[in-house]
Amino acid sequence: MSVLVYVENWDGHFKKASFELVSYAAQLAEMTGTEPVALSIGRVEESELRKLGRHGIGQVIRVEDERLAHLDTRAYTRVISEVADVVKASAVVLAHNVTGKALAPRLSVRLKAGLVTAVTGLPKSINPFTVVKKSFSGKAFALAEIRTEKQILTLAQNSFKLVEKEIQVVITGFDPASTGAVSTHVREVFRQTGKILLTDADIVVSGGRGMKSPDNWGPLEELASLLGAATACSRPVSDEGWRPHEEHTGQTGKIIAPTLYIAVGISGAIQHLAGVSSSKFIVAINPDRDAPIFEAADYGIVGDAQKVLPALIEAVKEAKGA
Amino acid sequence: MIKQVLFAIALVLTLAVFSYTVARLSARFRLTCKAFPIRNIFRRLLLTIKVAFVQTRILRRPVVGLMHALVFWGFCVILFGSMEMVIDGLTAGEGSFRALGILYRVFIASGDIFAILILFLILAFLGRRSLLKIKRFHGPELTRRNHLDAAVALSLIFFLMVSLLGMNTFTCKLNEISGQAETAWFPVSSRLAGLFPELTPGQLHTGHEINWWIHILLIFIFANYLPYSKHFHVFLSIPNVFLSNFEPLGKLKTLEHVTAEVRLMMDPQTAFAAPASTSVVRRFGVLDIEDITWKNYLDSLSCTQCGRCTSVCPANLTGKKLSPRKIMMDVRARMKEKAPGLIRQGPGFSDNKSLLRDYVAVEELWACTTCNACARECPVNINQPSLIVDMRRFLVMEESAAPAGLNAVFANIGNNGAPWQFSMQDRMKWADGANLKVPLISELNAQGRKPEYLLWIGSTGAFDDRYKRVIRSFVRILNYLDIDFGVLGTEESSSGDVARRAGNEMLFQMQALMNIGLLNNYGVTRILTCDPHAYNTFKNEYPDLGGTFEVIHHSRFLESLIRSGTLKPDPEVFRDQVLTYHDPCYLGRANREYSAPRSVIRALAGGFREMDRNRSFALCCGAGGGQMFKEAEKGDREVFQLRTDDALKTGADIIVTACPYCLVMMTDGIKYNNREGDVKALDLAEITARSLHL
Repeated sequence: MSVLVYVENWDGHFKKASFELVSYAAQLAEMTGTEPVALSIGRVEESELRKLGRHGIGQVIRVEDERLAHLDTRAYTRVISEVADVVKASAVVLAHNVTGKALAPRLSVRLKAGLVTAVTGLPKSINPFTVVKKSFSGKAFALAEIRTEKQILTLAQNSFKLVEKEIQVVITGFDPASTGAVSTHVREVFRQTGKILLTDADIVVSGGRGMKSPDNWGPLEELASLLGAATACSRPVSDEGWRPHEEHTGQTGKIIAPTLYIAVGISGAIQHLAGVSSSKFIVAINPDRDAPIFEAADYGIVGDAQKVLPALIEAVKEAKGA
Repeated sequence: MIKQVLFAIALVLTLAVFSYTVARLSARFRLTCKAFPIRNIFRRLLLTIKVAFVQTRILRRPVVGLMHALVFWGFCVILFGSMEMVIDGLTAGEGSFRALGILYRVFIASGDIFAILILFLILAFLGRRSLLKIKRFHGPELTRRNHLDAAVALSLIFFLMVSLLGMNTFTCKLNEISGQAETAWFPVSSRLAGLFPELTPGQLHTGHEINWWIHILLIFIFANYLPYSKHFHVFLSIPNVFLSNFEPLGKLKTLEHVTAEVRLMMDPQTAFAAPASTSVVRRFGVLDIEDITWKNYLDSLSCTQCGRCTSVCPANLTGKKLSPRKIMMDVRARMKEKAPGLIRQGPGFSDNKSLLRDYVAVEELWACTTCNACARECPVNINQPSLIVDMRRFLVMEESAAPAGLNAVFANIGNNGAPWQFSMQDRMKWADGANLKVPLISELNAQGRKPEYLLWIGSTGAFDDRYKRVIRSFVRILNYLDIDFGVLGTEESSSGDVARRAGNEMLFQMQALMNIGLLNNYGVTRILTCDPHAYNTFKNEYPDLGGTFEVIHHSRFLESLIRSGTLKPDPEVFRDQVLTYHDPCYLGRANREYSAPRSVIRALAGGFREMDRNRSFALCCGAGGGQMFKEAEKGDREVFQLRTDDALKTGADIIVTACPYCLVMMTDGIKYNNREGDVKALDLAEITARSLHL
């Protein structure tokens, strides 16, 4: 019997969370009187794999199949469950991150094992198998019981302390009998270039209904390109089709947090501000001095966008030229 | 003798079929869950008299309401004669109830008048259905069968009346010839009798018998047709009214097994000390027919598809898929489909279908604003929104299948106690630099003082820059009067109203229990708030969870101050302006507060104009039930646009409201109409503060 822990790598390296996971698995194995086994999928240097031994795991299984270079949940599930069978795992431990959350439910079905996610510590008892898990965004805790023979756990991050326990590591290769049909192949990775992504932008220039017409966006776009900023808009603007839907920021649109957010002709309704209030500085341009946006803004210009924007563009040009 | 035997056979057959129907239905009722205990019999009787016998709900639409009421009252009277006919038939007698004397004559006479009245009304109803294009009689949920059902039922009633009048006419004739003492008055039939030629007594007798048999057999057929028809409401609407849920419309049912879970979760000590709960809950919320309550099923059987609910539904009016009538029809149809299997094979039975999704689409459920217009309108007290929320509860708590916007709201409320992502530490920023006296209850408490009121700010008050002004205006009035109040400040957290109406009962109860603990700790007894949603939740929903407070909405508070003369508004401020008032659903329909805000406005301004839809007829602003935080479901328009049209049609300069959501929606509506230059949306507190020059 054993406790199998799947240790994910990032470009061939492990993170602190990986070692927490390994520590947890080792402790769990000790509690249940079984052997801890780590499984690594993908290309990881032997020296990196050996690091797992510092936290009490002596047996590492490595799968270096080229087809498994990228996460494919179906294929990974088959491999992990195959390994689990080989090492007679009574428990499988994964990280409570995107990968772990994607794999755990599938494994649960395949191994017919009960699953508890976001576990915060070692089991309260082994028989019956009960563990504490987080619920409601960590606001509450639940005591969960697993009644199946095998258990699957995903460990909440930063909830289990690293345990230092040096052990000699034995690394064994493993060729999975079947990976199933790998359903996705990543052929090439494109990285976004050129246009600034709204969610990544440091500066955002955003227009609202106060822009009055889709034809008035020229100056706004010019200002954005001068500042190296992304453009955004409020909901009514995208509703009316003045601007593409991707630009819609706010409660039901994109939620952004740039360093500088320039709100032009936006009154500052809560639905909009809910999506931009984390901006470091907010500058508002609005003809209505009573507009609520001025309460949220660090700097405000009372005036019509069609007059203020050209002046602002000139000023930016001047500042840049100087 | 032969007549007696034939009649007895017909009666036994009728009763046999009817008993079969009753047995079938009671087996179906046994599949449902418990709803609420039936107490207050006296109060229930009063309600039944009001709603069923006086037809108050039906008369909300005066013309067609009166038509229906006349038919109903006529039926009640004619029923007397029908009972007599049954006795007559069994005893081979005639006029068995004659012993009642004058009362008998009055009954028979009014029955005679009602018969002709009903006859013409039924013709009018049939004509209305087939010739006039009445919107509420059409809808995708109404099939040809439903239309046919309506026509059949109306026709049956028509022939019932024809035969009744026929019977009476022949009786008159017979009496005339035999010179028999008048046994009853037939004001209508005696005149009809005059139109008939002379017939022999034998012919008259045969004519009478034919009509008698037609009438009684039609009654027997009608009685057994009804339970399979939408017209079952003839039998069930009175019991359905009697068995109404007496809670205010704004109160949703507290799921007790959720409370048990939440209490455990919030206290790790007891959570891990206590043994795992032994009672197993089948599921949270409603997925299929076995999850509904007996009242939901009774509602569905009592529904006669009149469509009054759908015709006032803001979602339906703006082209969305939701139709409250359809929900009721779906419940009935699904029960009919699944019940036989469930009865045969027990609770394990599955036909791989469910009420949710196979009948009621998710899109319908998420279109609801929980404005309760449907429930308010229903003539037989059906409650559609509670079932809609119960199905949302299943989606949210069992499947985490809420729209993305609402999932974000749940996460935010869980993380930072507000539907938006703002820090709890910023909850008092509304008071920054405003030169207001806003005592923190924690500080008062440290000094051993307890303020008279707790002022509940609410998340919108704390974070919406526009609504912060409303709170400041109200606090200015409180300061002006030197009212002893305190606020929770950064300790305040979402009341849970949105979470609950969006189906997240667990999150709601967590918020509620947390807030109740805090409020009780500070010994709070009276809560003042500008937010009807918080008002409704505190007043109606917190008591179930151990929080009993006197809750006062600022509209009532301001009204009493103005009425007592404590506040003396300057009538000059709004002298030349026209004001209209938009009723917030959770102040109006949910808690029946219509007069206080109107009194305040009338005290401040000369020009007050009502919208066409006002008070309990008011249209929702579109933001309730979680709609504020999600994309609208597919439709022609948005609800707030429709409602702003209502408001703008009055020609008002100021749209007054008394709810943070309504204010946001009205403000948006004004903008969409490009009217921000000449029309303003203001809260009651703001106009009051202005009238006081504060």
